[in-house]
Amino acid sequence: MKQATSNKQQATSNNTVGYLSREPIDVSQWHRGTVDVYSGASVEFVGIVRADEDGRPISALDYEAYEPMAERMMARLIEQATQRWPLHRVEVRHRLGRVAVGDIAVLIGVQAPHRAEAFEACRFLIETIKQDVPIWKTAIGTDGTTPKVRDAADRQP
Amino acid sequence: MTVTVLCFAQLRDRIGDSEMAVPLPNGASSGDLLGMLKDRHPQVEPLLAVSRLAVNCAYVSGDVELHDGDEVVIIPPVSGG
Repeated sequence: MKQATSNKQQATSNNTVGYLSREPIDVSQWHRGTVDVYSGASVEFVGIVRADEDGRPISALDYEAYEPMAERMMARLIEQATQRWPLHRVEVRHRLGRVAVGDIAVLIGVQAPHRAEAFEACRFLIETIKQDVPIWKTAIGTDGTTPKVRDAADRQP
Repeated sequence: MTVTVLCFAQLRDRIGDSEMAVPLPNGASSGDLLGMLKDRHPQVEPLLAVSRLAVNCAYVSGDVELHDGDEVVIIPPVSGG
C-alpha cells in the first residue's frame, strides 16, 4: 500500500510546525498540495467559528491546548487512520489563540482511492479530535469579555 | 517525591494556578493526588469528577502509581474542533 503523507512528514521539508497553529489556516495550501492520480477522492472538513455559542452571540473563540500531548495524539490518530483506511494524504490543522467568528478553527483533509474511505477517515479524525484531544475553547462575547462559556463546558459529561 | 500538576481551561480558572509542584509521599497514586487536590480546592470537586487524567502526555485510567518528576495533567472536558 502506498504510504500516506501528512503535514507532519512534510514538516521537515517546508519548515512548518505541527498540527497546532497560531497562524490562520490556509485551506488553499491543502488544495495546492501534491495531486495523486491514484486518489479518486478528496474530502475535507473545515470547522468555522460560529457567531453564537450556547445561544449567545460571540465575537471569537480562544483556543488553548496541552500542546505536547495534543500534538502526540494527533500524530497517533493520523497513524491509526492510515492503518485503517488506504489513505494517500492527510492534513490536520487546528488553531490556537483567538479565532474570530467566520474564521477557520480546524481543517481535516483526506485523500484516498475512493469516497467511502475518505469520508470515513475524515469523520473519524474530526470526531476523535473533538472528543479526546486536549484542546479547549473559551468564547469571547461581542463586548470582548468572556461570557459564561465555562458553564457550557461544565455541563458536558 | 514531587510531581508537576498542570491545569487548563476552567480548572485553571477555578484553582487560580496553571502549574503546581506537589510534594507527595513516595509510592503515592493518582488517586492520592486527586484526593489532596479536592481537599485543597473543594470548589473544583464537581469538575474533577468529570475530568480525565494524563501522566507524561498520555491518558491514564484508574488509580496509577506516580513517580518523582511525573507531569500530571488534569484534563477537564475538551472542546476543540
